[in-house]
Amino acid sequence: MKISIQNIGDVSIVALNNDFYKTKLMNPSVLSVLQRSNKLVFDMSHVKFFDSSGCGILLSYLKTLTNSGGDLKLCRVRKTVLTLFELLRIHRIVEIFNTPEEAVRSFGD
Amino acid sequence: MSVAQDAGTNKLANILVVDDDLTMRFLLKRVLSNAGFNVFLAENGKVAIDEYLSDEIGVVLLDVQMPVMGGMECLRYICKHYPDLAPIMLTANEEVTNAVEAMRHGAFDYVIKPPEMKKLVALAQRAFQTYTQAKRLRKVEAELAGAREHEIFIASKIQRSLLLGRPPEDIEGLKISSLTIPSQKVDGDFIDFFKLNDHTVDVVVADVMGKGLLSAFFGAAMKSHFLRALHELTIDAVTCKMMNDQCVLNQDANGSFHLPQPQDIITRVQSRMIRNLEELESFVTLCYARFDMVEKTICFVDCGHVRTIHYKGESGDVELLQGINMPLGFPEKDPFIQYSASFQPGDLFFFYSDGLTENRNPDNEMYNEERLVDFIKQHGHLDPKKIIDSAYVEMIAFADSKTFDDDFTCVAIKIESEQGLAQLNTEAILEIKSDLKELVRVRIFIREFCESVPDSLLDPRRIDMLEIAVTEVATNIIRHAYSGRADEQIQIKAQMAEDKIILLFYDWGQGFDPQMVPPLKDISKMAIKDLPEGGMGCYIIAQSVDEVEYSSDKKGKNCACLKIILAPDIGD
Repeated sequence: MKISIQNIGDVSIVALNNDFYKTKLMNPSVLSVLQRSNKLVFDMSHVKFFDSSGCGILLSYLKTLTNSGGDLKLCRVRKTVLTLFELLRIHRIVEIFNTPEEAVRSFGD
Repeated sequence: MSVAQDAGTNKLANILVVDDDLTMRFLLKRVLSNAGFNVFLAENGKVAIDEYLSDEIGVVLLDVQMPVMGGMECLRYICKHYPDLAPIMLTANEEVTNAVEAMRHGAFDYVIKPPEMKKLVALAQRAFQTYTQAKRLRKVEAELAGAREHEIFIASKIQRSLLLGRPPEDIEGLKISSLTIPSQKVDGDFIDFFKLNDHTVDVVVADVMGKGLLSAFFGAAMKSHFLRALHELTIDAVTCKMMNDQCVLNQDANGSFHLPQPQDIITRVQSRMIRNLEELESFVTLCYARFDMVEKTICFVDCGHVRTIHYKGESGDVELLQGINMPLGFPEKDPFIQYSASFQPGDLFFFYSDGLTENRNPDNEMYNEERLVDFIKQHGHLDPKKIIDSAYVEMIAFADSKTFDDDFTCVAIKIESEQGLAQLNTEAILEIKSDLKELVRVRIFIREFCESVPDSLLDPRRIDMLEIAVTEVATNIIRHAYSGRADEQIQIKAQMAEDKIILLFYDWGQGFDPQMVPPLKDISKMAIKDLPEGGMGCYIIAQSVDEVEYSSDKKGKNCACLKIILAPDIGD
């Protein structure tokens, strides 16, 4: 599974793809990012579908990051995925932005 | 012409003499030949049957006592296979009781041996005449039956091709289904539909009194008069408008042109046909109704027809539409009165002929209007095609017969609750292996299945939710029911009923008890450290559909049933 990672300052932007939801384990490349950075943005533009397993993984990232004083933010969430987030009220605990830039900027606030 | 000749064909009469006495046979041959008969001889009943009996034989002289096969047995055979042929029995004095018995079984007469030849010849001639008359009568009867059958054939052809109009399928919000089953006799029931514009359709259901060709032709003529009246009245209105002649006929306040009113159409048809109807001493009962989908009204003229049933979808009540007009063909001077009523989505109008209400059961009891009203109350919520099919089954069950004495005609017109909904009664099945890779197929299957539902009833957001729900159900089955084994079977059945989608997931693994899953708390109110990392599937399923139910049968087949009510604007 290829996951592209981009760093802007101390924030890492991870572009998730549609395979993300298939695994219950944390993705090794994402985990390696977590070693270095505790400020993470998930770019969800390539995630067409998300289910409860995906939500579980997302929440576990959030827990890990907040534990170490960091945070997880999301950007470019597709409408179908947003529907699920709204259902579970995940959008109330994870900030969602339209663009990666906005998400990165929000860490500086 | 000899008396032993067929008057129709001038052929000599064939006579068969059956007697075991050789002398008697030859004696009879000589006498009968001289009298003009063509004589055949047989020595017993068996030889007579095997070698001589045919439709060409007009008279049989039959000895009672014979070896191999006697006269009585042979008589029974003849009466059964040649019903027009009545043998004359030849009998010895002591067998007279037998001969009398033979008469009871269909013999023409009996003669005591030795016969008095003159008397015998006269008897044979009479028997022959009786035979030819019986044969001719049978032929005429057959011809007559053939002619009648042909008339019915033509009449039912006229009815099918000329009298029964096809309901339009493209009036938005209206679904029409009709059925006519001609009776054995064929009478002049006719139905027709005139689509006047995108939202207006006229329906005429009529019954011409009388049966057979005449009423069938009459019905056809009548139908063309309706079309003509419609056409002429429309032209009148247009011409009026064009001439700007201060003509108010068929114009509203804005001066825009209106459709001719049902009562005007009926008046025109009556004036055109009254003379024919009087000449033929016939009359026509009918109901002419106009459905206006914009105004949501039915406007009708009833002329002595059975009362149309208006079923109201919302309350389940019915109302009977009745007018006060006499049937067409009555010397009526009063103008035709037109009524109107409004309708709502979910309503149904049931038009029919008296063939339904006057259908009789084996006890000669009529089905009657009351039973029909009850039937419509019970079935009015269904699709019109289903109502008509059920009505047909009901009529057969009542009459205990598949043929009816009268034509069976009915038209069911449904005002659809939501457009096109009733056409969505479909089912699809998908079978997958219990492998997470198969989830994509499940999602595609559901998306494709939902494609036929209009957006107004199932918006994209609800389809998204449904997609999530089915993924969760299938994932649960794979992970929990089958504990991750990838080669087990899962069957998914998607059904579209009138107002809902039902999805059934079958598996043969570990049963699932939703009670065992702890309820999910509101994530947004939890501390981050308490956030769940699983166990959200059941919550998602329950929130994504309108109903969910889990069950297992005795054979270990588990079923998860999801229901989605199709309704506009469900919102959050």
